[in-house]
Parts: sequence; structure tokens; C-alpha cells
Amino acid sequence: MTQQSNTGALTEAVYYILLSLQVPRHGYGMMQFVQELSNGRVQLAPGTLYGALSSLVERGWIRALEGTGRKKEYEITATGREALRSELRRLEELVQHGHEWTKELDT
Amino acid sequence: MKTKTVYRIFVDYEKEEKWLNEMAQTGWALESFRLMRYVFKQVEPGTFTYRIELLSNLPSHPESKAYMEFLDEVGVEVVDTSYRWIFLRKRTSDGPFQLYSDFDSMIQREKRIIQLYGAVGLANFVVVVANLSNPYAQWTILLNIAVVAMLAYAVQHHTRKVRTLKGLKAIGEMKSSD
Repeated sequence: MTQQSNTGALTEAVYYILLSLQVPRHGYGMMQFVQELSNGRVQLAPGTLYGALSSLVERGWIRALEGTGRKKEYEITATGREALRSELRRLEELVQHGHEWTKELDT
Repeated sequence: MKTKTVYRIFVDYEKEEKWLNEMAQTGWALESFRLMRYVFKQVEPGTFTYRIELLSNLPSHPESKAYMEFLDEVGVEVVDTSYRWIFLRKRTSDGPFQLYSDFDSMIQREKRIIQLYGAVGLANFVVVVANLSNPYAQWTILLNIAVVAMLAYAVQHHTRKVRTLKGLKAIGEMKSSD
């Protein structure tokens, strides 16, 4: 089941999971990465992370790597990377609009 | 190592979770659970934070096993299981312990709980109705009625929680520090 369109904004958890899986990581590695990257602001709770990983695998945005030690590792797929890029474009548009329309408020 | 056994009944898991954490704060860490029977081991006060989770399937189900394996990988210990309930703990020194950091998963969890409480409540209600004209069951019926009442209250409480979570979800993402 692969679909790229049909999804609007990604959740913060999914966005950061996709970012962290540019290199193969296991669950704990993802939690650490996201926490450090966001200076502790975003913390992926285990239940949330597990649920997100399951649906991302189902979507084909990430895949589990076979036989990599005891802890299961995951990696982003080409479809996942495309989803991440389109989300980035959406976010850039949001930020740009935000700046444009709050300019007069700042001065 | 000192241990202590306590017998208690909880209708709602939220109160149970709160109690387990209060016990842990005073140095009694849950080691095992079996039908009203809680066995605690004496440890340094505040060593663990406890959470109770309701699985979608029984613990022996492959999906449940995969979830529990994952929890183990990220430093969450499965202390014991009972039917679809699992008792979890994490070392307090490893940071705060919440199971969910997004509204959707929390809403799903509340729905699993409402469904279970509803089913158990309904079963008790059927027992009450079936025994209404049974003169020998007068006292046991009172117990069933009490269970139905407490579960009905819990269902209402969790339904309200779902509504609140949905309202918050409509506004934005959950703050991790909450």
C-alpha cells in the first residue's frame, strides 16, 4: 500500500521519525535523535512511536531491516523520502506566509 | 529482600496506576499481579515510574509480543500481564515516562478501555436481569449492581476524556512536556 498524495500535514512524530531514518536506526536511537535535535522539545513516547512505525511500514514509507542484531532497525524508503520532501515544501510555504503576514506586527 | 503482598480491587485503571506510583514513591515496587493480589518488593523510593496499558489482543498474540519486545528495547520493562492489561515500569533516572505523546494514540487507548468496561458492565447487567426473580441470588446481585454502577461511571469519565482529547487535537499537537 503506497500512497503519496492523499495525506495532508504530517504529525510532528511522523515528520521527525522520517527525518531520523535517513540513516538506519532502532527505536531507542530514534527517540534519542529526535530529543537531541529538538533540544528536548519533542519527545517520542514509546506507544506513539510504535504506532507510527507500524503505520509507516504499512504505507511503505519506511521498512524494517532484516537480521540486524537483536534490536529491529528501520530505514526510510524512496516513497517516504518523497513524502518528507513534499512536507518540507508545505512547511516552507507556511513559514513564508507567516513571515509575510506578521511583518507589520513585528515593527 | 523484603516483599509485601496487598489485596485490592480497582475498577478503573487510572486510580490503580496512581496507587502503584504512590507505592513506588514510598519504596514499594510492584513485582507481580494476579487477580487482586499485588506483590511489592522494597527498593530505593522513587526508583521506578509505573504505567498500565491495555493491549488490543492477549499478551500471547504476535502483535502484542512485538509491542512488548519494542517496549523492552526502549527501556520499558513489562512487569506482569493480566488478561489484556500489562503493567509497565521505567527507571525514573531514565527520564519521565509517558506511553503516548500524541492525541490520536491516546484517543485510541481510551476507546479500547471504554469498549472493555462496556463489555464487562453489560455482562454484569445481564447477570442482574437474569437473577432478578431468583430469591437465592439477592446478595450476589447487589455486588453485580455495584460493579455495573462503577463501570458506568468509569465509561462516562473516559468518554468525557475522549471528547477533551478530540478538542485539543483539533487545535494542535501535544506538548511533549505535558
